[in-house]
Amino acid sequence: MLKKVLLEFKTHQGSYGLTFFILTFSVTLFLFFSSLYYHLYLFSREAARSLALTVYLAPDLRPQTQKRLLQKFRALPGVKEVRLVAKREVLRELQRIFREDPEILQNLDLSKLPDFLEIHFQDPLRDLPRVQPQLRKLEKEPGVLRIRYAQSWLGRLWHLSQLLRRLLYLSMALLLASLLFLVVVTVNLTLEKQREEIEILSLLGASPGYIGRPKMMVAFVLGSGAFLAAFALLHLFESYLQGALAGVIPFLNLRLSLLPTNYLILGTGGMGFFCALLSWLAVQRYFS
Amino acid sequence: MGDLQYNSPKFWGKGIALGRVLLRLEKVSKIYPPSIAALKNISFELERGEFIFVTGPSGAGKSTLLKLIFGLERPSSGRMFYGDLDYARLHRRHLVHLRRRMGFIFQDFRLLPEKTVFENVYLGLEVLGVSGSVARERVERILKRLGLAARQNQKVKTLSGGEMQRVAIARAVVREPELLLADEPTGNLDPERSQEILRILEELNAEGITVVLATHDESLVRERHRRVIALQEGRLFHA
Ligand SMILES: Nc1ncnc2c1ncn2[C@@H]1O[C@H](COP(=O)(O)OP(=O)(O)OP(=O)(O)O)[C@@H](O)[C@H]1O
Ligand SMILES: [Mg+2]
Repeated sequence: MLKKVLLEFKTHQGSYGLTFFILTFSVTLFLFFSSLYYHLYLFSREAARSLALTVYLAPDLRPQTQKRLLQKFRALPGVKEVRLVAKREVLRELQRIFREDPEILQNLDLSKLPDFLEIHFQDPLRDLPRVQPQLRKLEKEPGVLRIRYAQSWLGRLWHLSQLLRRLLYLSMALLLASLLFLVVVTVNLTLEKQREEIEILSLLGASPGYIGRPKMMVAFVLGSGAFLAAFALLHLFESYLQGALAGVIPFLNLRLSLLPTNYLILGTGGMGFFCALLSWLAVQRYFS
Repeated sequence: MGDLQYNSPKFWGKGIALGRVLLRLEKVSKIYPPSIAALKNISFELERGEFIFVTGPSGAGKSTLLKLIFGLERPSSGRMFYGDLDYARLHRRHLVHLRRRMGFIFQDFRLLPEKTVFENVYLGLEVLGVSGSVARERVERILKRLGLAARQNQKVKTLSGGEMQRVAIARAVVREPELLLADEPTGNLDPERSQEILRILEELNAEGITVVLATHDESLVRERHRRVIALQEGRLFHA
């Protein structure tokens, strides 16, 4: 069998070589963009988790009013935790920060310092937009100075990563479609070149499987090989990419080596099987 | 018994029940489009172990008859039995299995010119699923027998016509077929060579292979007392 596969490859060196090259190239591009997406996704998810709402309270509120407000915010849907940060705490924190030069604080009028509520949501990206109308109403409550919404650029980043995901699906579909085209055309090409031989083999009683099996094996090797080659290529340029991109997109920390081994195995096997399947389909089509 | 049953792959696991009669044609006709009647109403039986000639002038339908038997062409009407299997309208996928029980020596050899003698003959076995040292031994034995041992590593395109003819025979008989169909196997050979080829086929027949040999060379038929299917313009005349 190995001899057959080698012979099959040798007979159609040109076609298979070119196919391998194109496969590797497109998979490399695809992997590159998916890793971009993956890291953007990880980053924005982590960042989004810490999104919190800050509600500044009017100074010198009565404890009952404070408590009532606290309860109202706690009743919002999706709220995980509401924390009251009192003026004293803020002061202590400021004192800690300006330990070295306490005179800075003496020059400020700290009596105007408000207490505030820090509201954490279970899933800020989902819950924040949902409670928006209620927040607007709550902002008018007596005792509430102002509600500061979570850093909105984070939300936008998150939406960008969602968009990227959709683009990724699209490019995945495109990749699969072009793989389909490429592999089917290549296999057809090799079949066409062997037309005479195949005719004779069928006269001898060869099944499509007999003729197609070496082609399937070659397609499997090409597919999984292309994935591995693409992965190796990216790996090879990893440090280069890191150096080049780190300055442009600050949060991007390209760590391809962190692509989980399962995905490597899955990708290699998946690509191989997909290409083998396509080659099988091409052979079936040829003989039907 | 309906054809459906025979068309199911399951059937092939059981094989075909062979009685005394290996092949039976019932009122078989073949009309090539648009309206060339190559065979008209042909009926005959072929017993296991027989050696028959199919004769007739050029265009009489000899090749067409052999192709029908081999399943390369489908009859326009009539029934064809291989053992107890009616295969006139069998699905192509299953026909392949039937074809593996037969050997066909083509008028134009149908060898792979870029491959060696050995490889060509080996292919005949390999498509049956026989490979490795068992297959190699069988190929070597048959090549020796046909006087091709010295040629086995030569490319087929460098052989003479007579040698190619013998390679074609070797490829067909290495499979030890039940039925050997030979279409003008002496077509391009001088009389001496022709006799030699016929002797080889008769030897194989003596070993149990049923042979159908198509030829327009009456001299080959005359001195042998074998059954003859004589065709003329697609009709059958028993000699
Ligand atoms: N594929 C085809 N399409 C149309 N007509 C065909 C086809 N094959 C054969 N014929 C016709 O059928 C008739 C029988 O042809 P066949 O080849 O069986 O004759 P033959 O007896 O083998 O002749 P020869 O001795 O020259 O080989 C001929 O008239 C031929 O032209
Ligand atoms: Mg003929």
